[in-house]
Amino acid sequence: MAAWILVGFLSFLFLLEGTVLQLLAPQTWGSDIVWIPQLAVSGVIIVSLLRDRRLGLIYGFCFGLLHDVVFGDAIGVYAFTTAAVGYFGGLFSRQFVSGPIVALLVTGLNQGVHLTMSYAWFRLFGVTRIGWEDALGLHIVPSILLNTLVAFPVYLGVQWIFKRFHPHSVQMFHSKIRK
Amino acid sequence: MFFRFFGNRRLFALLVSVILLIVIMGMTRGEREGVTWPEAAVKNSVAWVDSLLSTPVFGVSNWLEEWGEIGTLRAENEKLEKKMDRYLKLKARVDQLQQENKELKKAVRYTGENQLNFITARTVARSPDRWNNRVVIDRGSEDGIRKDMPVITHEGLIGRITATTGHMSDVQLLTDTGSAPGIAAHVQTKNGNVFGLIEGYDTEKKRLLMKKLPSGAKLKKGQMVVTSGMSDTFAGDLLIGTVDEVTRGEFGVDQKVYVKPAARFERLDYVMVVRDPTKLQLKKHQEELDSREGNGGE
Repeated sequence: MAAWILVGFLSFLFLLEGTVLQLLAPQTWGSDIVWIPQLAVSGVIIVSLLRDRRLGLIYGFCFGLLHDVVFGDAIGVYAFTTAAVGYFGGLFSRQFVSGPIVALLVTGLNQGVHLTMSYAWFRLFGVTRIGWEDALGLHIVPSILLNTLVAFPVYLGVQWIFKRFHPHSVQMFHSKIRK
Repeated sequence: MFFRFFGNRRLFALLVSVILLIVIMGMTRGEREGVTWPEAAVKNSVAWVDSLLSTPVFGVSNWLEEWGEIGTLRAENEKLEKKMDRYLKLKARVDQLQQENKELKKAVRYTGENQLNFITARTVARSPDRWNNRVVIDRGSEDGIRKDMPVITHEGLIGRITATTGHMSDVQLLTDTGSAPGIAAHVQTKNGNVFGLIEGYDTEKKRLLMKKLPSGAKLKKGQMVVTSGMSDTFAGDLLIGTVDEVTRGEFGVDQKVYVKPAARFERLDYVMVVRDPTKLQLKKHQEELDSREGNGGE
Protein backbone atom coordinates (compact mmCIF):
# COMPACT_ATOMS: atom_id res chain seq x y z
CA MET A 1 0.00 0.00 0.00
CA ALA A 2 2.66 2.49 1.05
CA ALA A 3 4.73 1.54 -1.96
CA TRP A 4 1.87 2.36 -4.33
CA ILE A 5 1.21 5.70 -2.65
CA LEU A 6 4.91 6.49 -2.89
CA VAL A 7 5.07 5.52 -6.57
CA GLY A 8 2.01 7.68 -7.21
CA PHE A 9 3.56 10.64 -5.40
CA LEU A 10 6.85 10.35 -7.29
CA SER A 11 5.02 9.97 -10.62
CA PHE A 12 3.06 13.10 -9.85
CA LEU A 13 6.32 14.96 -9.21
CA PHE A 14 7.67 13.60 -12.49
CA LEU A 15 4.63 14.90 -14.37
CA LEU A 16 4.99 18.32 -12.73
CA GLU A 17 8.55 18.60 -14.04
CA GLY A 18 7.55 18.53 -17.69
CA THR A 19 4.39 20.62 -17.54
CA VAL A 20 3.63 23.02 -14.69
CA LEU A 21 7.19 23.80 -13.66
CA GLN A 22 8.17 24.47 -17.27
CA LEU A 23 6.00 27.58 -17.08
CA LEU A 24 7.40 28.71 -13.74
CA ALA A 25 11.07 28.20 -14.53
CA PRO A 26 13.14 31.36 -15.23
CA GLN A 27 14.25 30.24 -18.72
CA THR A 28 10.62 30.36 -19.86
CA TRP A 29 10.57 34.09 -19.22
CA GLY A 30 13.70 34.85 -21.20
CA SER A 31 16.36 34.47 -18.54
CA ASP A 32 19.78 32.99 -19.23
CA ILE A 33 19.64 31.11 -15.97
CA VAL A 34 18.15 27.66 -16.36
CA TRP A 35 16.35 25.71 -13.69
CA ILE A 36 16.19 22.02 -14.44
CA PRO A 37 13.38 20.87 -12.13
CA GLN A 38 14.20 17.44 -10.77
CA LEU A 39 11.59 16.85 -8.10
CA ALA A 40 11.36 13.13 -8.75
CA VAL A 41 15.12 12.81 -8.25
CA SER A 42 14.83 14.72 -4.96
CA GLY A 43 12.01 12.36 -3.99
CA VAL A 44 14.16 9.31 -4.74
CA ILE A 45 17.06 10.71 -2.69
CA ILE A 46 14.78 11.41 0.27
CA VAL A 47 13.17 7.97 0.09
CA SER A 48 16.60 6.42 0.10
CA LEU A 49 17.66 8.61 3.01
CA LEU A 50 14.62 7.82 5.13
CA ARG A 51 14.34 4.13 4.31
CA ASP A 52 16.90 2.07 2.56
CA ARG A 53 19.52 2.59 -0.11
CA ARG A 54 18.43 -0.53 -2.03
CA LEU A 55 14.94 0.94 -2.33
CA GLY A 56 16.51 4.20 -3.52
CA LEU A 57 18.47 2.28 -6.14
CA ILE A 58 15.37 0.55 -7.51
CA TYR A 59 13.17 3.65 -7.49
CA GLY A 60 15.99 5.68 -9.01
CA PHE A 61 16.45 3.21 -11.82
CA CYS A 62 12.71 3.06 -12.64
CA PHE A 63 12.12 6.81 -12.62
CA GLY A 64 15.37 7.47 -14.47
CA LEU A 65 14.34 5.03 -17.17
CA LEU A 66 10.93 6.69 -17.41
CA HIS A 67 12.64 10.05 -17.92
CA ASP A 68 14.91 8.56 -20.57
CA VAL A 69 12.05 7.05 -22.53
CA VAL A 70 9.78 10.08 -22.37
CA PHE A 71 12.24 12.93 -22.90
CA GLY A 72 15.64 11.50 -23.65
CA ASP A 73 17.75 11.49 -26.74
CA ALA A 74 19.35 8.25 -25.67
CA ILE A 75 18.23 5.63 -23.19
CA GLY A 76 20.34 4.91 -20.15
CA VAL A 77 21.81 8.16 -18.84
CA TYR A 78 19.10 9.09 -16.36
CA ALA A 79 18.49 5.46 -15.41
CA PHE A 80 22.16 5.21 -14.43
CA THR A 81 22.60 8.57 -12.75
CA THR A 82 19.33 8.52 -10.80
CA ALA A 83 19.97 4.98 -9.58
CA ALA A 84 23.51 5.94 -8.53
CA VAL A 85 22.26 9.01 -6.68
CA GLY A 86 19.48 6.99 -5.05
CA TYR A 87 22.04 4.55 -3.70
CA PHE A 88 24.43 7.32 -2.69
CA GLY A 89 21.72 9.16 -0.73
CA GLY A 90 21.09 6.10 1.42
CA LEU A 91 24.72 5.97 2.52
CA PHE A 92 24.26 9.27 4.35
CA SER A 93 21.54 7.99 6.67
CA ARG A 94 24.19 6.01 8.58
CA GLN A 95 26.39 9.02 9.12
CA PHE A 96 24.05 11.77 10.26
CA VAL A 97 21.05 12.37 12.44
CA SER A 98 18.11 12.60 10.10
CA GLY A 99 16.25 15.89 10.12
CA PRO A 100 14.95 18.32 7.53
CA ILE A 101 18.17 20.34 7.31
CA VAL A 102 20.39 17.31 6.84
CA ALA A 103 17.90 15.91 4.34
CA LEU A 104 18.01 19.13 2.30
CA LEU A 105 21.81 19.28 2.39
CA VAL A 106 22.07 15.69 1.26
CA THR A 107 19.52 16.37 -1.49
CA GLY A 108 21.46 19.41 -2.69
CA LEU A 109 24.72 17.50 -2.77
CA ASN A 110 23.19 14.57 -4.61
CA GLN A 111 21.40 16.86 -7.05
CA GLY A 112 24.77 18.37 -7.86
CA VAL A 113 26.27 14.95 -8.45
CA HIS A 114 23.28 13.96 -10.58
CA LEU A 115 23.32 17.07 -12.75
CA THR A 116 27.07 17.02 -13.26
CA MET A 117 27.09 13.32 -14.07
CA SER A 118 24.22 13.49 -16.56
CA TYR A 119 25.76 16.56 -18.23
CA ALA A 120 29.09 14.74 -18.50
CA TRP A 121 27.48 11.70 -20.13
CA PHE A 122 25.52 13.85 -22.58
CA ARG A 123 28.63 15.82 -23.45
CA LEU A 124 30.62 12.64 -23.91
CA PHE A 125 28.07 11.23 -26.35
CA GLY A 126 27.65 14.50 -28.20
CA VAL A 127 24.00 15.02 -27.26
CA THR A 128 24.78 18.54 -26.10
CA ARG A 129 27.49 20.99 -27.05
CA ILE A 130 27.15 23.47 -24.21
CA GLY A 131 30.59 24.30 -22.79
CA TRP A 132 31.33 23.35 -19.20
CA GLU A 133 31.56 26.94 -17.93
CA ASP A 134 28.05 27.70 -19.18
CA ALA A 135 26.74 24.36 -18.02
CA LEU A 136 28.11 24.88 -14.53
CA GLY A 137 27.24 28.56 -14.10
CA LEU A 138 23.91 28.77 -15.86
CA HIS A 139 22.46 25.27 -15.56
CA ILE A 140 23.93 23.26 -12.71
CA VAL A 141 24.46 25.73 -9.86
CA PRO A 142 21.06 27.51 -10.15
CA SER A 143 19.37 24.13 -10.52
CA ILE A 144 21.02 22.81 -7.36
CA LEU A 145 19.88 25.84 -5.34
CA LEU A 146 16.29 25.86 -6.61
CA ASN A 147 15.92 22.10 -6.40
CA THR A 148 17.18 22.13 -2.81
CA LEU A 149 14.58 24.76 -1.93
CA VAL A 150 11.77 22.86 -3.61
CA ALA A 151 12.93 19.62 -2.00
CA PHE A 152 11.50 20.78 1.35
CA PRO A 153 7.82 20.17 0.45
CA VAL A 154 8.91 16.93 -1.22
CA TYR A 155 10.61 15.91 2.05
CA LEU A 156 7.45 16.69 4.01
CA GLY A 157 5.35 14.70 1.54
CA VAL A 158 7.57 11.61 1.63
CA GLN A 159 7.81 11.76 5.42
CA TRP A 160 4.03 12.06 5.71
CA ILE A 161 3.55 9.02 3.50
CA PHE A 162 5.93 6.95 5.63
CA LYS A 163 4.33 8.06 8.90
CA ARG A 164 0.82 7.54 7.66
CA PHE A 165 1.23 4.19 5.93
CA HIS A 166 4.35 2.70 7.50
CA PRO A 167 4.54 3.96 11.09
CA HIS A 168 6.61 1.00 12.26
CA SER A 169 9.59 1.54 10.00
CA VAL A 170 9.94 5.24 10.70
CA GLN A 171 9.89 4.66 14.45
CA MET A 172 12.52 1.98 14.12
CA PHE A 173 14.66 4.33 12.14
CA HIS A 174 14.48 7.08 14.75
CA SER A 175 15.14 4.80 17.68
CA LYS A 176 18.18 3.44 15.92
CA ILE A 177 19.57 6.92 15.54
CA ARG A 178 18.96 8.03 19.12
CA LYS A 179 20.74 5.16 20.77
CA MET B 1 43.80 -11.08 -7.64
CA PHE B 2 41.33 -11.68 -10.41
CA PHE B 3 39.06 -13.63 -8.08
CA ARG B 4 39.26 -10.98 -5.41
CA PHE B 5 37.97 -8.51 -7.96
CA PHE B 6 34.91 -10.69 -8.52
CA GLY B 7 34.57 -11.04 -4.78
CA ASN B 8 33.91 -7.30 -4.47
CA ARG B 9 30.38 -7.46 -5.73
CA ARG B 10 29.59 -3.79 -5.47
CA LEU B 11 32.51 -2.74 -7.64
CA PHE B 12 31.66 -5.46 -10.09
CA ALA B 13 28.03 -4.34 -10.30
CA LEU B 14 29.15 -0.75 -10.89
CA LEU B 15 31.48 -1.82 -13.68
CA VAL B 16 28.84 -3.93 -15.37
CA SER B 17 26.27 -1.15 -15.16
CA VAL B 18 28.67 1.40 -16.68
CA ILE B 19 29.38 -0.99 -19.55
CA LEU B 20 25.66 -1.62 -20.01
CA LEU B 21 25.00 2.12 -20.00
CA ILE B 22 27.57 2.76 -22.70
CA VAL B 23 26.28 -0.10 -24.85
CA ILE B 24 22.61 0.88 -24.57
CA MET B 25 23.34 4.54 -25.06
CA GLY B 26 25.46 3.87 -28.10
CA MET B 27 22.62 1.85 -29.57
CA THR B 28 19.82 4.28 -28.90
CA ARG B 29 21.36 7.70 -29.39
CA GLY B 30 21.10 9.83 -32.49
CA GLU B 31 18.77 9.28 -35.39
CA ARG B 32 16.58 6.21 -35.16
CA GLU B 33 14.08 5.04 -37.73
CA GLY B 34 11.26 4.11 -35.39
CA VAL B 35 10.40 3.71 -31.74
CA THR B 36 10.00 0.26 -30.21
CA TRP B 37 6.53 -0.62 -28.96
CA PRO B 38 7.23 -0.54 -25.19
CA GLU B 39 8.71 2.92 -25.60
CA ALA B 40 5.74 3.98 -27.69
CA ALA B 41 3.30 2.71 -25.05
CA VAL B 42 5.07 4.59 -22.24
CA LYS B 43 5.37 7.75 -24.32
CA ASN B 44 1.71 7.67 -25.35
CA SER B 45 0.39 7.19 -21.85
CA VAL B 46 2.65 9.81 -20.28
CA ALA B 47 1.75 12.30 -23.01
CA TRP B 48 -1.93 11.66 -22.37
CA VAL B 49 -1.61 12.38 -18.63
CA ASP B 50 0.62 15.37 -19.40
CA SER B 51 -2.03 16.83 -21.67
CA LEU B 52 -4.58 16.59 -18.84
CA LEU B 53 -2.20 18.57 -16.62
CA SER B 54 -0.93 21.09 -19.13
CA THR B 55 -4.25 22.29 -20.54
CA PRO B 56 -5.43 24.17 -17.41
CA VAL B 57 -1.88 25.39 -16.76
CA PHE B 58 -1.59 26.93 -20.21
CA GLY B 59 -5.00 28.49 -19.71
CA VAL B 60 -3.91 30.20 -16.51
CA SER B 61 -0.59 31.30 -17.97
CA ASN B 62 -2.22 32.79 -21.06
CA TRP B 63 -4.75 34.60 -18.92
CA LEU B 64 -1.99 36.08 -16.75
CA GLU B 65 -0.05 37.19 -19.78
CA GLU B 66 -3.08 38.91 -21.28
CA TRP B 67 -3.83 40.60 -18.00
CA GLY B 68 -0.32 42.02 -17.85
CA GLU B 69 -0.50 43.35 -21.37
CA ILE B 70 -3.61 45.53 -21.07
CA GLY B 71 -1.55 48.69 -20.56
CA THR B 72 0.35 48.30 -23.80
CA LEU B 73 -2.73 47.43 -25.81
CA ARG B 74 -3.80 50.98 -26.58
CA ALA B 75 -0.49 51.98 -28.15
CA GLU B 76 -0.43 48.71 -29.99
CA ASN B 77 -3.92 49.30 -31.30
CA GLU B 78 -2.95 52.58 -32.91
CA LYS B 79 0.07 51.00 -34.49
CA LEU B 80 -2.03 48.14 -35.78
CA GLU B 81 -4.58 50.47 -37.34
CA LYS B 82 -1.83 52.15 -39.28
CA LYS B 83 -0.52 48.79 -40.32
CA MET B 84 -4.01 47.75 -41.35
CA ASP B 85 -4.21 50.57 -43.88
CA ARG B 86 -0.99 49.43 -45.42
CA TYR B 87 -2.21 45.86 -45.33
CA LEU B 88 -5.39 46.68 -47.23
CA LYS B 89 -3.40 48.30 -49.99
CA LEU B 90 -1.15 45.28 -50.08
CA LYS B 91 -4.07 42.93 -50.17
CA ALA B 92 -5.54 44.57 -53.22
CA ARG B 93 -2.20 44.14 -54.91
CA VAL B 94 -1.95 40.48 -53.83
CA ASP B 95 -5.42 39.74 -55.14
CA GLN B 96 -4.49 41.18 -58.44
CA LEU B 97 -1.25 39.21 -58.59
CA GLN B 98 -2.97 36.02 -57.55
CA GLN B 99 -5.46 36.37 -60.33
CA GLU B 100 -2.66 36.97 -62.77
CA ASN B 101 -0.72 34.01 -61.40
CA LYS B 102 -3.71 31.72 -61.80
CA GLU B 103 -4.19 32.75 -65.37
CA LEU B 104 -0.54 32.30 -66.18
CA LYS B 105 -0.48 28.88 -64.55
CA LYS B 106 -3.51 27.89 -66.55
CA ALA B 107 -1.73 29.09 -69.65
CA VAL B 108 1.22 26.75 -69.00
CA ARG B 109 -1.09 23.95 -67.73
CA TYR B 110 0.46 23.74 -64.27
CA THR B 111 -1.95 22.32 -61.76
CA GLY B 112 -1.18 22.97 -58.11
CA GLU B 113 -2.54 19.76 -56.63
CA ASN B 114 0.07 19.28 -53.99
CA GLN B 115 -0.83 21.97 -51.54
CA LEU B 116 0.68 22.16 -48.10
CA ASN B 117 -1.55 21.34 -45.24
CA PHE B 118 -1.01 22.10 -41.59
CA ILE B 119 -1.72 19.84 -38.65
CA THR B 120 -2.34 21.90 -35.56
CA ALA B 121 -1.10 20.39 -32.33
CA ARG B 122 -0.62 21.42 -28.75
CA THR B 123 2.58 21.05 -26.79
CA VAL B 124 1.99 18.86 -23.78
CA ALA B 125 5.42 18.70 -22.18
CA ARG B 126 8.92 19.94 -22.54
CA SER B 127 12.02 18.09 -21.50
CA PRO B 128 12.96 19.47 -18.06
CA ASP B 129 16.66 19.62 -18.82
CA ARG B 130 18.01 22.02 -21.37
CA TRP B 131 20.89 19.82 -22.49
CA ASN B 132 18.71 18.94 -25.42
CA ASN B 133 15.79 21.04 -26.57
CA ARG B 134 12.83 18.80 -27.10
CA VAL B 135 9.10 19.29 -26.99
CA VAL B 136 6.32 16.73 -26.95
CA ILE B 137 3.13 17.46 -28.94
CA ASP B 138 -0.22 15.71 -28.81
CA ARG B 139 -0.56 14.56 -32.43
CA GLY B 140 1.11 11.52 -33.89
CA SER B 141 1.39 9.19 -36.84
CA GLU B 142 -2.35 8.50 -36.84
CA ASP B 143 -2.95 12.17 -37.57
CA GLY B 144 -0.59 11.99 -40.52
CA ILE B 145 2.63 13.18 -38.91
CA ARG B 146 5.84 11.57 -40.13
CA LYS B 147 9.46 11.86 -39.08
CA ASP B 148 11.41 14.91 -40.31
CA MET B 149 8.38 17.11 -40.97
CA PRO B 150 8.99 20.79 -40.17
CA VAL B 151 7.14 22.35 -37.23
CA ILE B 152 6.17 26.03 -37.17
CA THR B 153 4.29 28.50 -35.01
CA HIS B 154 2.47 31.49 -36.45
CA GLU B 155 5.78 33.36 -36.14
CA GLY B 156 8.09 31.00 -37.97
CA LEU B 157 9.93 27.71 -38.08
CA ILE B 158 10.73 26.16 -34.71
CA GLY B 159 12.01 22.66 -35.43
CA ARG B 160 11.38 19.26 -36.87
CA ILE B 161 9.78 15.97 -35.86
CA THR B 162 12.30 13.42 -34.62
CA ALA B 163 10.03 10.57 -33.52
CA THR B 164 6.34 9.73 -33.73
CA THR B 165 4.11 7.26 -31.98
CA GLY B 166 0.38 6.80 -32.47
CA HIS B 167 -0.82 9.92 -30.71
CA MET B 168 2.23 11.99 -29.92
CA SER B 169 5.45 13.22 -31.48
CA ASP B 170 8.81 14.55 -30.37
CA VAL B 171 9.92 17.87 -31.77
CA GLN B 172 13.57 18.84 -31.84
CA LEU B 173 13.82 22.61 -31.67
CA LEU B 174 16.18 24.67 -33.80
CA THR B 175 17.93 25.80 -30.63
CA ASP B 176 19.14 22.26 -29.96
CA THR B 177 22.92 22.39 -29.70
CA GLY B 178 23.34 18.68 -30.33
CA SER B 179 24.06 17.09 -33.65
CA ALA B 180 21.23 17.51 -36.12
CA PRO B 181 21.30 17.50 -39.89
CA GLY B 182 21.52 20.99 -41.35
CA ILE B 183 18.50 22.72 -42.84
CA ALA B 184 18.75 23.94 -46.42
CA ALA B 185 17.78 27.62 -46.49
CA HIS B 186 17.72 30.69 -48.71
CA VAL B 187 18.57 34.26 -47.94
CA GLN B 188 16.28 36.46 -49.97
CA THR B 189 18.37 39.23 -51.49
CA LYS B 190 17.57 41.74 -54.18
CA ASN B 191 19.47 39.71 -56.75
CA GLY B 192 17.68 36.48 -56.02
CA ASN B 193 18.05 33.73 -53.46
CA VAL B 194 21.37 32.77 -51.87
CA PHE B 195 21.65 29.18 -50.73
CA GLY B 196 23.14 28.12 -47.39
CA LEU B 197 22.78 25.66 -44.53
CA ILE B 198 21.43 26.34 -41.07
CA GLU B 199 23.76 24.43 -38.79
CA GLY B 200 23.66 24.91 -35.06
CA TYR B 201 22.76 27.60 -32.60
CA ASP B 202 24.84 30.10 -30.70
CA THR B 203 23.48 30.04 -27.17
CA GLU B 204 25.35 33.17 -26.10
CA LYS B 205 24.16 35.40 -28.92
CA LYS B 206 20.83 33.58 -29.26
CA ARG B 207 21.25 33.37 -33.01
CA LEU B 208 21.07 30.52 -35.48
CA LEU B 209 24.19 29.87 -37.50
CA MET B 210 23.89 29.78 -41.27
CA LYS B 211 26.99 28.50 -43.00
CA LYS B 212 28.40 27.72 -46.42
CA LEU B 213 27.06 30.83 -48.13
CA PRO B 214 28.99 31.83 -51.25
CA SER B 215 31.42 34.64 -50.54
CA GLY B 216 30.28 36.69 -53.52
CA ALA B 217 26.75 37.16 -52.24
CA LYS B 218 25.93 40.59 -50.85
CA LEU B 219 24.19 39.97 -47.56
CA LYS B 220 22.77 42.68 -45.37
CA LYS B 221 21.20 42.89 -41.97
CA GLY B 222 17.45 42.49 -42.12
CA GLN B 223 17.19 40.20 -45.13
CA MET B 224 14.75 37.33 -44.75
CA VAL B 225 15.88 33.73 -44.36
CA VAL B 226 13.44 31.02 -45.47
CA THR B 227 13.66 27.26 -45.92
CA SER B 228 14.65 26.02 -49.33
CA GLY B 229 12.27 23.92 -51.41
CA MET B 230 15.23 21.92 -52.69
CA SER B 231 15.52 20.00 -49.45
CA ASP B 232 14.03 16.52 -49.73
CA THR B 233 12.26 16.67 -46.38
CA PHE B 234 11.37 20.28 -45.67
CA ALA B 235 8.71 22.29 -47.46
CA GLY B 236 10.00 25.49 -49.03
CA ASP B 237 9.43 29.12 -48.06
CA LEU B 238 8.86 28.70 -44.35
CA LEU B 239 10.14 31.76 -42.51
CA ILE B 240 13.16 31.06 -40.30
CA GLY B 241 14.31 34.55 -39.39
CA THR B 242 16.28 37.57 -40.51
CA VAL B 243 19.98 38.14 -41.12
CA ASP B 244 21.58 39.78 -38.09
CA GLU B 245 25.32 39.70 -38.62
CA VAL B 246 27.54 38.62 -41.49
CA THR B 247 31.01 37.21 -40.82
CA ARG B 248 33.58 35.24 -42.75
CA GLY B 249 33.29 31.48 -42.72
CA GLU B 250 35.64 28.98 -41.15
CA PHE B 251 37.46 28.21 -44.37
CA GLY B 252 37.80 31.74 -45.68
CA VAL B 253 36.02 30.97 -48.92
CA ASP B 254 32.47 31.24 -47.64
CA GLN B 255 30.37 33.48 -45.44
CA LYS B 256 28.73 32.76 -42.11
CA VAL B 257 25.58 34.54 -41.06
CA TYR B 258 23.98 34.91 -37.66
CA VAL B 259 20.24 34.54 -38.17
CA LYS B 260 17.82 36.06 -35.69
CA PRO B 261 15.02 33.49 -35.38
CA ALA B 262 11.54 34.79 -36.12
CA ALA B 263 9.80 32.46 -33.70
CA ARG B 264 10.12 32.45 -29.95
CA PHE B 265 11.07 29.10 -28.50
CA GLU B 266 9.81 29.63 -24.99
CA ARG B 267 6.23 29.13 -23.87
CA LEU B 268 5.20 27.16 -26.90
CA ASP B 269 1.52 26.36 -26.86
CA TYR B 270 -0.09 25.73 -30.24
CA VAL B 271 2.23 24.63 -33.01
CA MET B 272 1.64 23.49 -36.59
CA VAL B 273 3.21 20.56 -38.37
CA VAL B 274 3.66 21.21 -42.08
CA ARG B 275 2.67 18.30 -44.26
CA ASP B 276 3.99 18.63 -47.78
CA PRO B 277 2.57 15.92 -50.08
CA THR B 278 5.33 16.48 -52.64
CA LYS B 279 8.04 15.59 -50.15
CA LEU B 280 6.13 12.49 -49.04
CA GLN B 281 5.87 11.34 -52.64
CA LEU B 282 9.54 12.07 -53.12
CA LYS B 283 10.45 9.95 -50.11
CA LYS B 284 8.30 7.07 -51.35
CA HIS B 285 9.86 7.35 -54.76
CA GLN B 286 13.36 7.23 -53.30
CA GLU B 287 12.50 4.22 -51.15
CA GLU B 288 11.19 2.41 -54.22
CA LEU B 289 14.32 3.24 -56.14
CA ASP B 290 16.49 2.04 -53.25
CA SER B 291 14.68 -1.26 -52.97
CA ARG B 292 14.89 -1.80 -56.73
CA GLU B 293 18.60 -1.15 -56.67
CA GLY B 294 18.99 -3.50 -53.74
CA ASN B 295 17.19 -6.28 -55.63
CA GLY B 296 19.17 -5.65 -58.76
CA GLY B 297 22.43 -5.97 -56.90
CA GLU B 298 21.67 -9.39 -55.51
